[in-house]
Amino acid sequence: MTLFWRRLREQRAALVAAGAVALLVLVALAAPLLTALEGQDPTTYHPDLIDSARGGVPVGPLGGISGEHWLGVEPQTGRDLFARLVYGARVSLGVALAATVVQVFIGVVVGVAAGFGNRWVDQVLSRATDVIVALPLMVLALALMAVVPSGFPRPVLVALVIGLVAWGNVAKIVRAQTVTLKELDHVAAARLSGWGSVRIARRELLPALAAPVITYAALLVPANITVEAALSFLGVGVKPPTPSWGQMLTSADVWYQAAPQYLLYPAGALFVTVLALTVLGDGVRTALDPRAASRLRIGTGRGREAHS
Amino acid sequence: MTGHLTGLRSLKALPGLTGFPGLSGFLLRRLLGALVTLLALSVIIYGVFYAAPGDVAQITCGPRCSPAQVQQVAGQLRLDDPLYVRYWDFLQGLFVGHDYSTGTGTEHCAAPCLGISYQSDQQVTALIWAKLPVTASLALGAMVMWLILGVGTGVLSAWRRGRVSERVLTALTLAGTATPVFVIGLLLMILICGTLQWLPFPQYVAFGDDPTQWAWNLLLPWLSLALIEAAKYARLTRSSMLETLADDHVRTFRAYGVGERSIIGRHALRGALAPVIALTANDVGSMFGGALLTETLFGLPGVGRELVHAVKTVDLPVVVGMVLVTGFFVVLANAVADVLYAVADRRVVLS
Repeated sequence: MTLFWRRLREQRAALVAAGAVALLVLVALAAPLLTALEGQDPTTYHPDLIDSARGGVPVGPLGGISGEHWLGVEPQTGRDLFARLVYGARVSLGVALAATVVQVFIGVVVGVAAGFGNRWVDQVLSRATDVIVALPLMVLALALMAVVPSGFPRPVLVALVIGLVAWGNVAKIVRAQTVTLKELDHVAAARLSGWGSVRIARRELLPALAAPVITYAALLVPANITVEAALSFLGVGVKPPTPSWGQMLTSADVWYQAAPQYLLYPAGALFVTVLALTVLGDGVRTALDPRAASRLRIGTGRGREAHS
Repeated sequence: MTGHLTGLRSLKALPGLTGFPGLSGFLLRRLLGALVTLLALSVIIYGVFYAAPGDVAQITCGPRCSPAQVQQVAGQLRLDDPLYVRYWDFLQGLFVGHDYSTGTGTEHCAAPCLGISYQSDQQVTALIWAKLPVTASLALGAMVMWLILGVGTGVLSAWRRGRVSERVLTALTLAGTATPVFVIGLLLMILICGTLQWLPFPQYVAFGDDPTQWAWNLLLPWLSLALIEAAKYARLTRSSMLETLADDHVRTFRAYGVGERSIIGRHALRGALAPVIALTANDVGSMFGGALLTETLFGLPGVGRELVHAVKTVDLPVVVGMVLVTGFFVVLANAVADVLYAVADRRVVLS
């Protein structure tokens, strides 16, 4: 474990990314505090701050930035942009993390069962995994949104749907790993001494599965953030009044001339978040599997540059 | 020297398609597998969507319907029949066609029948068929662009490995993978169509009507989609090329004095060929399910936008039909990818 931290610390990009992610998490956690400090909330309309004669453009320079509204207000509604942005961070990160937990849970259960079960179980589960991996995630997630009762809380629903359609790769990795682990002496010994499958899975397999699963999960989080934003952008994800970055972009194309910052804030937030999480995920992978990085460094040696 | 080289190359030359006894068996198995997968998929999709909670009749009829009207709609949609009966009908429609009662009479829905839309009373097959050219235009044009951009960038960064220009390219591709397509598309649209006014705001023109306008209007959607996808291809190309560069046979070529340009262009690139082909087939296959975001963003009337609309109006036959068609294209593309992969890299067949 200490080795892992040391390797992670050695990568400058990953460190910067980790800092950015930490800041984002902090902002998301402290959203109520930050908005209280600003004295605003994400859902109150401010009709006096928008110019209804010009179609609802915010009054004042730069989208109505002022001491009361740090990033200005939303066109048409006059809701505070800063508040919506930081609460949007909550939704983005919360949904992505929850979805990742669901994905990892299903993936590990299916993967271990397939790798450890008899041939029949393996066949059925592996086929199902293949199908779910093959189908485009967005199409499935979007389609599932059609069959859920509308009363369900949307962020929970989005997290569940993303979790339910995108566990395939985790299951594949876990199954492959389990099949290898099964042959190892300590697992065979546990089996011979009459341990039940569940106990073996928990005591002997799960600890060895942690590294590959964490590696993959770290890269799932930014992917999930993108999917949530995409679903909300399409108008089937998180719905107003709950703020979400993707949803803020839905109507941004109408306002880009009159209020360009309304587009740039959520777009920038999404970009930075996904980029930081991806870089961090790459860093985690390198720290957990240093061979992956050195494999790619082969052939970059200086000696050969001389005659190329 | 050159004699040795040609010898080496002919050793590496691949036997023809028929020269490989494992290939036809591999193909057959792959095809059967694809068929079984599709059938299983249809059962699961049908089950999930029609057995799910939620009052389909009420939603279809609209919020202002009286209970009697809702009852009538439920009868028309045959919601009271057991699920397996309806699935059997659906399957029959898929293979031999099906007759539907429309209230006033019956309508025949020919062989690959996916049912009839709740909302527009149109046949789902016809609906998809009408939208497919738009999606195909988008997907294929974007594919050409992302292959050129992605593979080009990948080759360049494998060639310039270890230098500043490689670092820049790697950073760019990383940024590309981190940007959602609707963000980059939105920004490009605003910049190019809005501020600079170099291109019109995209509006789909059929290829048959005016090929120049078709390309001109699709240029921006292609570019947005291609920029995002290209990043993935650049990373894949680069890493497969670097792996090949570390192989023993490349070292042998180097020892024989083969130039760096030839090693990169001929031998390392070949190592990247198989994975790039496989990924392309997969991506194009899933894009036929509709490049949902790109189509919605640019207002292109393709399969993806239709699916979004169907989801919003809970038009289940359309949703189920589209998911199945997507599945069909994906399974088809995967099978094609596997075969191409096997042709490009014979080790696959042997294992």
